[in-house]
Amino acid sequence: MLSDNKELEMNIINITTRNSLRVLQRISGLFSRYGVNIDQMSIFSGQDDLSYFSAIVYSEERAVQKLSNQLHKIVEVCDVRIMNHKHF
Amino acid sequence: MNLTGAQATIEALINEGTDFIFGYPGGAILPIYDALYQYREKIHHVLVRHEQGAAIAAEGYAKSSGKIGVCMATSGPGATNLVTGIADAMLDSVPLVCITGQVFSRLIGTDAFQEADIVGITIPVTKWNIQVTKAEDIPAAIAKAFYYAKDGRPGPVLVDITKDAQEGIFEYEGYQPHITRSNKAIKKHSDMEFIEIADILNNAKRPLIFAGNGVGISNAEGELLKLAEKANIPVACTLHGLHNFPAHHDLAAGLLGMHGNYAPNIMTNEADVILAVGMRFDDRVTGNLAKYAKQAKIIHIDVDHAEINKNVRCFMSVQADAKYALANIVRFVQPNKFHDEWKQRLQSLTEKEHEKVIVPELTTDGKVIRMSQAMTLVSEKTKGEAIVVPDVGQNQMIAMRYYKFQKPKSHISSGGLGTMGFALPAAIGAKIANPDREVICVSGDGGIQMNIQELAVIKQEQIPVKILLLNNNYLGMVRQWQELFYEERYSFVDLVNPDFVAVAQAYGIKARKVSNPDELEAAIDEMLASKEAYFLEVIVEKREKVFPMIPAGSAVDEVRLS
Repeated sequence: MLSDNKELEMNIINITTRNSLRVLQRISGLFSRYGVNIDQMSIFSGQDDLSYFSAIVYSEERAVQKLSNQLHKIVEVCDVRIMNHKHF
Repeated sequence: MNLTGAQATIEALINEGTDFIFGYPGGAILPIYDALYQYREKIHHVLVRHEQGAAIAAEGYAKSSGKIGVCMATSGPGATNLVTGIADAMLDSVPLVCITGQVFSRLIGTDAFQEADIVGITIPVTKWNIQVTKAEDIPAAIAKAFYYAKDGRPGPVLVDITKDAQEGIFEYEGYQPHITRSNKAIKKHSDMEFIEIADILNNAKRPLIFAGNGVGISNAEGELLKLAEKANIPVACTLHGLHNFPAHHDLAAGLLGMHGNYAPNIMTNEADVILAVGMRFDDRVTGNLAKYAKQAKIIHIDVDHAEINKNVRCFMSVQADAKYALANIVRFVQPNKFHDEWKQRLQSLTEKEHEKVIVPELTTDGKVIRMSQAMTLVSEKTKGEAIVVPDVGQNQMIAMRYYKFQKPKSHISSGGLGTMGFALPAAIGAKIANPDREVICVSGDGGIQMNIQELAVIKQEQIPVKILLLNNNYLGMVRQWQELFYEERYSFVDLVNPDFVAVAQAYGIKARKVSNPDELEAAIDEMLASKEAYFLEVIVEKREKVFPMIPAGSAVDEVRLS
């Protein structure tokens, strides 16, 4: 179900990681620690031994930025990109 | 050459330069301990009495030497007992490699005896962790562990090895340290950034440098001193930064934060430029963020990108190693006489604290000993050159405030996590890493009992560490808060303690107790003169409070002197 909280901005967080066990756990743990609720998430693994995560969240920009900074510190994470209304 | 996974584990540790392991054996790590027996001439294993002691002793070893600390435990409770030490290392950026045994891989997920999902449990408190289920994967896993423990901002890593991986035999082709082309591009810095910073400092009227843990981690104490002296800028330190700048220097502004010195806290809200190096604006440093250094241009240098703008918005930032950044800023700053007036401000504020807090504290009434008096004596008699390992609470704040650190890598303390019970095992690790330096564990009657079992290690390993127990028969810091903020409702803070001297003696350690101020100096002399471990219990004033203090939620310039 999509969030009905209109005050919060929609952000799409795209994360590229090396494909290994527990990467989802590492990533989702950070989302919950930083209080960023995941509205939708899709994951697929490519043939290049990489996994692609795409999450839609409704949250304040600052919280998403802090989360993104922490996601970058996960060893398996190669790239984090955030898209919001500014990009559309 | 065929090796078992267990032998490959020890080979890997030796190749990484490990000389000491702090650990505790058990069922799921028996093969590694069997291999350790075979390698016992090459690697010294210190048998602790509780796994928390192993993790914290490894921290003490790492913090005081700059090397990577290694600890080891079995599966299940052995591994979970490490967790407090691992979390402590995470918050204080201590490089730690933790090796845990795990049940057979075929038993994982069956709730087997002593099974715990330690990799899952430690994800939030490690930089990286991994479970290894095949012998041939062990060398690469340990190589990565050592790499990640030290890479960038240091921290703890954990390698969980199943028993079948330890027992498995494989064709060993020698050890390869981990080399990576990092997938995270480190930003290149041009001179322009450092010229800009130097320019801001050169034009500042009231500049202040904040030195944190990062300065010590990157061995940048010399560069810090050069910058401060060349540009004539006072240096305030965080808890972990305290030993990075000599305490008696006329530019030393002292300790920042809740129980820090008066001058740097007041000056934080007066400075026009703050250069913060290797520190993370912890809430204990900043107090109320809404009223924190709003007038200042803050320049933040940290190796960890995630720390920039995390708590405090900065004017300018550089993601870089402290040594590299400081060395480059020094190139461009100019000798500056214009800061003399600001230096006088530092002097007058320092004098005010001296007059209002320090002199009354140190003036004895001849009846009871104050913690500050004991620490001042220890500081004078060791010339500020010892390694001091405080616990957490009043004893820690007093040790920091009254011990005048002159040398780097001398203040080993639990800052971020505030782990009571830290001092004794950490002092053991520090003394093992620094056999030629005096190591003094300073603890309270609460904290000492959280890891008192490690006294047995001091005896067994003949570690000549000195233990100064400041006993007020209270959980003093909690009591202080209850007195100041909870209308003296002393809820569960008074302790009925054992006879500590008898306890220490029962462990085979020389011990003495003093309560008379006239005997204090002789007792401290005896402790410092001892060639073996020595346990000195000092009965101190029951209701001493640590001041200055910034009450929680207050601004830094609302610091109270009484």
